[in-house]
Amino acid sequence: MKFKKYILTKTAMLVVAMVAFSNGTYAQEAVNMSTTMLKDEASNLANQKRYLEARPFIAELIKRIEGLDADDKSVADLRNSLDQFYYFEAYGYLQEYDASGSTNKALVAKAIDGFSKVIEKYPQGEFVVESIKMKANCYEAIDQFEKAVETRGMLLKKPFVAMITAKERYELVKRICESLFNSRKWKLGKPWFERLLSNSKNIDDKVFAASALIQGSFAERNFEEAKKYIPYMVHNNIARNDPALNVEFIKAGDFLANSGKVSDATVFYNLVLGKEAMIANFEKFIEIEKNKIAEIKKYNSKSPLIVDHNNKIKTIESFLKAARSLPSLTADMMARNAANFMRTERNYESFWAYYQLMKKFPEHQNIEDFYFASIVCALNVDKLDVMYEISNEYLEKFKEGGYRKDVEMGIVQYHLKKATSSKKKEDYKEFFAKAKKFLDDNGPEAGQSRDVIFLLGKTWFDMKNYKELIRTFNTYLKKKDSDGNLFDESILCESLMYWVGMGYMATSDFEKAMKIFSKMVERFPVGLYAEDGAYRKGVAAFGAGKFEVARDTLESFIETFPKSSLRGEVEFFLGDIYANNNNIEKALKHYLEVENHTKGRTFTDNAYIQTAKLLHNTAEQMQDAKDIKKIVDFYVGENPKEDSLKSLKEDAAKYAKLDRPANSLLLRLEIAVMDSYIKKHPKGNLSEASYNRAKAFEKLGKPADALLEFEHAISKYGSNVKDDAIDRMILEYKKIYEQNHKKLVASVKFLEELKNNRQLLEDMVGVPAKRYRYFQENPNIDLQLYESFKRDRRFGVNLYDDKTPIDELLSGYNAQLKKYPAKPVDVFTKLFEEAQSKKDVVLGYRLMMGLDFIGNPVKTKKSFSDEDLKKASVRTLVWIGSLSKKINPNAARKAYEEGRKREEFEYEVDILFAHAELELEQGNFKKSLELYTAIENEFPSDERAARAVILKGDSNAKLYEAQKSKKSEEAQKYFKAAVKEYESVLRSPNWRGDAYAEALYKLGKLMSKGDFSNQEKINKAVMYYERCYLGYASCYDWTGKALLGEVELKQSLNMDKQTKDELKNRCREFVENALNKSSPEYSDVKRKMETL
Amino acid sequence: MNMKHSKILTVVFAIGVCFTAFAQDKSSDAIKTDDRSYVKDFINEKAELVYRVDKQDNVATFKELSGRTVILKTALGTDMEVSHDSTRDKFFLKDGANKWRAVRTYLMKDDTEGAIKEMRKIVYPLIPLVVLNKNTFDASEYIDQFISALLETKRYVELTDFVKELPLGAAEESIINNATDVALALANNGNTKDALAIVSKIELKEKTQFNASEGVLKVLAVLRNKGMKSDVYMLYAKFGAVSENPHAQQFKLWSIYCDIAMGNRTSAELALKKVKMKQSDTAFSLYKMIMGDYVLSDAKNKDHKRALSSYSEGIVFGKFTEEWMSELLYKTGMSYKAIGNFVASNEIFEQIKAIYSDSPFAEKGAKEIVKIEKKKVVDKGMSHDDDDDDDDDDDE
Repeated sequence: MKFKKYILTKTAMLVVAMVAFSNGTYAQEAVNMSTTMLKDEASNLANQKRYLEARPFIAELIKRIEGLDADDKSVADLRNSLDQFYYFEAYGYLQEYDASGSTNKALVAKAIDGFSKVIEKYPQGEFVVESIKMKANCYEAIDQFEKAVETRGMLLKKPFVAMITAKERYELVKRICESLFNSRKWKLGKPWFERLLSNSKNIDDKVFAASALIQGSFAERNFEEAKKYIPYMVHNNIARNDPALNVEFIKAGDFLANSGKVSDATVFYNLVLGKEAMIANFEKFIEIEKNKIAEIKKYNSKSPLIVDHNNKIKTIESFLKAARSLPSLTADMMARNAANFMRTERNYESFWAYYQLMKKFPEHQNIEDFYFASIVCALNVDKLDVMYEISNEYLEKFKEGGYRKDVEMGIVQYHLKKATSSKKKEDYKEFFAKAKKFLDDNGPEAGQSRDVIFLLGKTWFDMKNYKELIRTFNTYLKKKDSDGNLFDESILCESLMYWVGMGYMATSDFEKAMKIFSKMVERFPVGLYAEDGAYRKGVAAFGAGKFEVARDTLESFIETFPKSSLRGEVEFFLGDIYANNNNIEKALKHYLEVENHTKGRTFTDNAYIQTAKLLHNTAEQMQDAKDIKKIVDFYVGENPKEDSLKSLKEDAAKYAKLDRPANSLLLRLEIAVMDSYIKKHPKGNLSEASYNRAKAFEKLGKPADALLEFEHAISKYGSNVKDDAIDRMILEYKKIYEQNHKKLVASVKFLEELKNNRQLLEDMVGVPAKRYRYFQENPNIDLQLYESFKRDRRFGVNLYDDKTPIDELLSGYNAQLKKYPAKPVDVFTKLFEEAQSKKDVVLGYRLMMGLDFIGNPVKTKKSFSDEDLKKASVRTLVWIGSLSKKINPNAARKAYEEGRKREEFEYEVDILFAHAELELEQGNFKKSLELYTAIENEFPSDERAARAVILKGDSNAKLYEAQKSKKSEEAQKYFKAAVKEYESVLRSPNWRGDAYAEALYKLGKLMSKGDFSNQEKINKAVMYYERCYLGYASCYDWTGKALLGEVELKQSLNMDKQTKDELKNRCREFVENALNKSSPEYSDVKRKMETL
Repeated sequence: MNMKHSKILTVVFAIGVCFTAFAQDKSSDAIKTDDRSYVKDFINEKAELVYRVDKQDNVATFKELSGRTVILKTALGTDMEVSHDSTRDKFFLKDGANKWRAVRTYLMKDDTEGAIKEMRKIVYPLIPLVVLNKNTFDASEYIDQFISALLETKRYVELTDFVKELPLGAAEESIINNATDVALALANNGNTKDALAIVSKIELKEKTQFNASEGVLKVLAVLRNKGMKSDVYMLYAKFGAVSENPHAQQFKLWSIYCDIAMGNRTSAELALKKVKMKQSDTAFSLYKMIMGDYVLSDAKNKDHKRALSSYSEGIVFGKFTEEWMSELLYKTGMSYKAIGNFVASNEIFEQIKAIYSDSPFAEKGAKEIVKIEKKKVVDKGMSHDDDDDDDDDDDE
């Protein structure tokens, strides 16, 4: 900016005329100068930008102008131009401030005064904009940032805003922001940074503003606010590389990580640019700026833009210097990131981050930690070979390492993982060897030994190798470690005992399981497995039939661990225990508690279903109205809300008062319980609830309602492939339909006859023997009627005069008959058609099975695809298998295998039987043997288990028969196995009857095969045959066979006459007994007798 | 003089001219009614250049463009051939400074419209001269400011035709950068067809062009993300074939990426086998993303764990400022989700939302966030409710 010479000239002329000279040194010199000289001197100095030296001359000029008569018009004009003198005088003070080392703040204050005069007195003047800017600069120079911002902000308000261009306005905002940024005045700067961020179109400025806003938010610990600006941080420019910003990101990440806000910490850690990256970027930015300057210089070597770019370079250089002074944070940042990845379960990133740290910084002070973290992460992400390699490196490198035991344990896990994925025996072998070695070497000394025991136990458990589990851990319990410490006396004892107990549980050796769990909880009452062990002890006692021990253990469990996650299960078992002891109220109490203590669906469902079953069974046994009232009152409570429960409670009171048979109330309660279950648990096992409701209806003499319930449930839930209750309903439907229809018809007929036949009525009411006989001779009449005559007072002599009770019953039976559904075939066909129209394949298959089952098969395709099999329930798969096996045994096998895969309990045994039967038919005796063994092991309590054992014997017998040489080792192996299976049937008292007879016959048959020189075998054969037809004479399926077997055996041995006569007599006895006509071999025996 | 005070004094005198930094009070969003092609308006205007021989300024007028050679007519009426790589003479626009002063006057008054009018007169005749190397004649200084002004005033029709007219195949970095700026603006505004046409004209065969690769990559990224994978595939392959270009590897990788996206697994596999990468390479994270994509492109065996290993390596060794990082994170999140690790997938989707809010993957990721009901507690005992895992929902 230059003095306007014409103003000075004009001034000089006027002052010459009116003012005398004054004196002073510099000032004195000025005072003594003529106005022309004064003007020339001031002009020269100002044009050389020597404002400081010009100042006395300007001051003298100001003084002379201010001293002029204000009334004079020409003076007024002169005074109007005083702003430039004030401006340059003030500017001179600034130059002096600068020249004197920028310490004398009084000079800045004088400059501010000068600029203020221009602003206040000449707001429309030419110098006002620059004065405002300079005044703001002055405030900045003396660290008065608020005033600086306020002053500069004046330019954005009237009247000054009109004096600057849009570009200048933008630059002004930017200038304010820069000032506030440099002084780190985040709070004061916030509105300005926001303004710059929203108005700027330049991404560099936006990032700069965002950086300021982020740092401001950090300063106030407002991390959420800071996150708003993060998207700007993806740009790589100068502001983004600001070392201060990046350090702030680290600090923010640390703060958040320490506060547990790991996710947010990760975000900020990810934003940190490392020292090396910053340096490289700044060097690149400097290069870019230098290139720009070179380009500009080609056109205009004096372009003011060059100053801008040079300033930019200076700024970048200062950043570069700051970045260089930072310690290298690479390793620390990587470690922070790695830890955060781990905390947020980003296991794969965590692995790579630690692995990289380990490789890149082998000399880092935390290298051992990096190794260990890499090992853990590698294991987590199944990089097993890498993990194995690093583990060995670690063990080699850190002989005294703090993680050695963990690493060794990791190697054990490595072998387990490898074994689990490869399923190879040798891998398992390696795992077991390494794990046992770890235990032997370290014993209780290593904390990891408990984990190793866990891995061993769980692996054996998963492999179902319970024998090995029990054997090994029992051995350890008696063993000493390498330091001579007994395992049994260490903390490891608890883990060992727990797993041994689990092994016993799995092998159904509940007695032993109970004992060991009992010992374990006694010795380790606050141990790792204390809670679980107490629970297992109760369950084991329950399994062992020690109901009192089970009850006491589980009751005490609830007292000790009232908030345990196992509480729901414990309540359930207690319900079962009390139910077994006929303590109905207590059983109900515990079943009721289950849903309050478990989130699991299964136990809640089972508690309701068990409640229903308990009430159902109790209804069959309990008649006493007072006892039943107690149950009803207990379950329903004081003030039931629902009408059905209210009326139930009232009826219970009434029945008790009248002492009427009240078992129907229990059935009504069963229905109410199921209704409440359906209402409370819409996602529960609703088909099972329907089944129970239907069974209760049936018992209440409402079979039509029961059948309608079945129909409704089949239609509603039949598409759920896993719902076994639907299959049960389909399979039971016809039987219920037919039995009850007969019952209703017979009962109606009986009741009507009672009304008209006085003698019959009197017999029923007053002659118990006749009543008994009548019902024996008419088995189709509802037995409830018999019970009514026997126990209900209303069915006494009063019936002679008042037939109301009979009429009420009749009306009930007739109402049922009226709503009785169509025939099963019609109902199933209708449901089948509906399923087809809804494209409900699952239900469709079920109904096809149902129609086939009731003897009305529908035409179906002969083969089923894998997709079809997936849409078939387990029971339907049994049916599909039976259809397929005639044409394609492999297709049947597929169906059975699919069924077995489902792991659904109810019909799994059917699948196994069907499959075993197929294999037996196909001559695959080994496979059938395997399947029958599975039935025996997995379903020991199933009533068909005896059948499985016999069929196992059959399979072995067939394998024996298939051997060319009956004396070979192989043949003898099968022979002995067959004998063992048949004999095992004879050792089970529960299987007496048909199973015994069959086993005896088959043993006889087996003994009589082939080798007739072996007298012992012959004797045994005869003994088995005789035990069969003599001991189990009513088992007609086997007696005839056994008798024939003996005759044929002896015939083949050329028997003597006495033997022949004996046999003839036995055959005659057999033939003469009419009951033996039920034997399929009756006529064969008769024929054989004649040949003897 | 300390820095603070130095700033106080210099600020008074510094005056600069810069377009893009201007904060415009007036809205420039409205479509310009006079936005049209001006190519024909200046078809007969020939640029006059000055070159110096023996300290004497000589004038030459543009006559015609022959391939990559400019033919000028000298004051003597003779033809002067200046080839693309010639450095013999240095040419300037005749009276260039004075002509541009008029432009500057408008700019100082914030009159961009007026400035554009003045610029057209200078810039359109320079179009064919773009083939000359910068040391012989630098048209980019004028063209750069012209394109900035057109972009600022959103004259997309004029821009499109102007850039299409430029002989981009022979142009140097600065001109190509101008072209990619325009293509990027067009693509972002939905005009992918013209954006593709412009970028298709670009060649990145010479050293003076390699530095324009970043701009080209940006445009191709927008087109790729808009689903034009088969269109950009060819361009990636073309640019990737110039092995001297430091960005060749990145172009190649993107072509493989497109190949996989188009279902060409076998050719992608062959191409991937040839890629040699170090963890420190800029494009390493891209390579790892593509490797992960390749793993998942096996429809019969979508091995998410193997893909995760690759994706995560890319994340750890990559820079979060890379253009593909939001996509890489999204894919990583999806794979975590596929293996049932919802803590990790949610974390990643939240991260994309926080850092890359403008990326299309931020919105996509946000939709993938799942509510985690409970965390299963693993203890040292046997699980008691193994069969309850998937049915422990509340009814009420």
